[in-house]
Amino acid sequence: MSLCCTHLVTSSDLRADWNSRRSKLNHGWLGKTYPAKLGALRRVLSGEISDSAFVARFLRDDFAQWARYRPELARLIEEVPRLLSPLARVDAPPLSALAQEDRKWVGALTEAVWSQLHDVEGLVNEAKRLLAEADEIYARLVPSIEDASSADLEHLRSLADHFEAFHRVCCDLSAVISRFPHEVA
Amino acid sequence: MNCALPVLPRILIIDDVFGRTLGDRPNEERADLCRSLLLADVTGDSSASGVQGRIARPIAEALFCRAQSPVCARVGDTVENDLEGCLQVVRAGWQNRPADVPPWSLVLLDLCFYTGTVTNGDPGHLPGVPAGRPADDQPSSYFGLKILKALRHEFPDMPVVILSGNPRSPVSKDIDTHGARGFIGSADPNAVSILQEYLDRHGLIADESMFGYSVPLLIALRSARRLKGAARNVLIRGESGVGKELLARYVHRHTRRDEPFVVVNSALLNPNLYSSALFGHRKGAFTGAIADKKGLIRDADGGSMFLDEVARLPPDVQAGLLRVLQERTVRPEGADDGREIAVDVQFIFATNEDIEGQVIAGGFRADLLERLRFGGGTIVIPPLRDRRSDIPLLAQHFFESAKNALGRGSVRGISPEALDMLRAADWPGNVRELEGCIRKTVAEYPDVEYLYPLHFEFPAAVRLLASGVPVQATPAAPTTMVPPVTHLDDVAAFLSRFDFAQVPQAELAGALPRIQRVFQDFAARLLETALARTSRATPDAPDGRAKIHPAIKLLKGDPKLTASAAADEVKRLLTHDDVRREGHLRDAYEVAIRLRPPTSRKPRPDADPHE
Repeated sequence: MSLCCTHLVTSSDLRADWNSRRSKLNHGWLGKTYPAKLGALRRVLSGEISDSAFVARFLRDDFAQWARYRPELARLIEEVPRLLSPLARVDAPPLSALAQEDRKWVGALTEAVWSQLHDVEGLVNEAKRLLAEADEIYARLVPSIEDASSADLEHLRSLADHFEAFHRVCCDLSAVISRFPHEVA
Repeated sequence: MNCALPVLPRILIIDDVFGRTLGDRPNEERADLCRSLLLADVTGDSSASGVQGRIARPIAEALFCRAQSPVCARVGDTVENDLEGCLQVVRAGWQNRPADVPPWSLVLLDLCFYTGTVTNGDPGHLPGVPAGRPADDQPSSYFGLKILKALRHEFPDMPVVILSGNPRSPVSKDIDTHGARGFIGSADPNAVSILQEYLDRHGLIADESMFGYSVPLLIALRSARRLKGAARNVLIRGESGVGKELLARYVHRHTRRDEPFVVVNSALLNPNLYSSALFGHRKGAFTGAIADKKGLIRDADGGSMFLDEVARLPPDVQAGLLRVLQERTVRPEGADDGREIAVDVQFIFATNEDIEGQVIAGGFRADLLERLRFGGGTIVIPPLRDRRSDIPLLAQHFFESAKNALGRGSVRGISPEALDMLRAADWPGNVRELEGCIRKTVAEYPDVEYLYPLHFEFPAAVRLLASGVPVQATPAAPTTMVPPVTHLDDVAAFLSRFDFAQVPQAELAGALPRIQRVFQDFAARLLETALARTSRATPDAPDGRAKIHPAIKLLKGDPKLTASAAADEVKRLLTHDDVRREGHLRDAYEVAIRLRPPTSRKPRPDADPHE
């Protein structure tokens, strides 16, 4: 097997792996199970549900999932321009047959068109901004709930707006990550 | 049988994560979803967490289905998608359910289902979720889309909404074309209000005032709810005794709940005083008008007026009513100053008659009918024979009510045999007739323990449909009310719902050629319509020339269809009988034969490809 072919397989695999990680992390966790926990807390704080066991679990384990999965989310966003770019296609047949000089400008052009078409830079910046916003709200909430017990609902209710803001930012972040292209088109 | 209707809608949620069973452990993700969407988990498996007791006011009951096997997988097990298993769960809550269990109000369906070996503890994987295979998260091969297609095919009336953490955009066209009614993003902070809105707009939800869980009835109730904020006039159509006034009250409750509701029965009012009763009058307008009178329309101002038997309105009242519908003002009789009084009334009309036929016969104004039909919405309440599954529930309800009204006696219930017989009758007088029959029987036999078939004396017109044997010698009066069917989807939905199990054996003899002829004629008329719509007048054919190519392209929805393929289609659609007809069909067949002669597979070289 030639070096080119090996490279083609590898970049394609990396893309597939990125998409798979996105699916599990973003659509599975950030877009599905984590917001369900945040939504459940909102219902408890609004008095629609009384469930102290849930609140205790949320304070002890669930809320902290952000800290656990956040680095993986950040990595996912950082990798977009490198792993999803069509630049690697230039090194694979048939474009690899071009002269080195031509490959250079064809690659640059393809990447520029791709980036423009999907507004990759704009999406990456927006995702980073939302990640930072979520981090900020999370960092503000953690010390406030560190000593809170599940019975301290009044204290938690005073933080309801922050939890709601955090929920919305997570939702927006999930939507932006969903908009990264699935395929090189 | 419990005859009190549960009021909560019943939702089926098909999802790999929320639907899985984790042995003895509660499925916390499912519990979180239930808390978040205010759902009571009624799955009944070991993973149902019991949160429902802590939800003050759940908006629906939810039953979860994994659509994968095994439902309870341990680390190391291999999980595969299971379409048939999923469909069995759906069927159990749709056509195979007991009479006192409502059908699925709504199905919430996930898109991406992970298969493969179950993992545990890896930061990228939730505990107990399979590792996933490459095709699982490819939008083009989502298992959720396969389920959606299968649901659309087998249960066309079942409302399905996508509930997914995956984005809508890559599959938006697919989910729309396969009949999903909407999309809820799992992460959406407003998911609960969106779900509530979808339940209201698309859900099949029973109501205590209209006893029954049959799909045709629940579709009528849904049509009524959909009028909210959209229509000012409503026309309710249905045979006598189906509950048109109850439905009118339901419409009112869902549109103008706290405002007045005025009922007018056109057949009962004195024809001479009708105008005055409806529009009001001024003092001295006629002999006996000793004081000003507001009239019923102004009594209903801000609320709703239910006008039953609208087909029997006298001509002068029709003219007055048309003006009210157009101008939204009332002019009382004798108001010579010409002053009109503005009113804001939602008119709910009802009829069991062939009102279109009356227009043709000159008994009803065409412009008023247009206002009734198109100024708002038309709701058709199905006759009882089309919602036979509701009969045991209704019978039980009327029995309890009659027993309580009687206040004495030892009668405890209706025997299963009697319920079967009641279910098998056709009830041309509909729910009212069934109620009368049960009340009469309870009153006549208060001292038996159970009512058996021998205790029931059916009204003269009632027949036992399933066996074809009349209960009494007098045949049922034919009904003249034919609900207008104007959409092909309605025809398709009716055909797909038709229950052959109710057809007597004798009717099956020779049924196939008869049905084939009907379909052949249906197809020929469809083609005739398409030919007429696509024909263009030419100097030698001022009435239009049949062009099979554009007509078949229209019907097939395929702009790339070739002329020869169109000719083949025409030959398939038309029989020799159709060719004997005059006009477009005959022309079309001749063109098709010219392009694709029976002896040759190739079109003539000089054939006009645009024909």
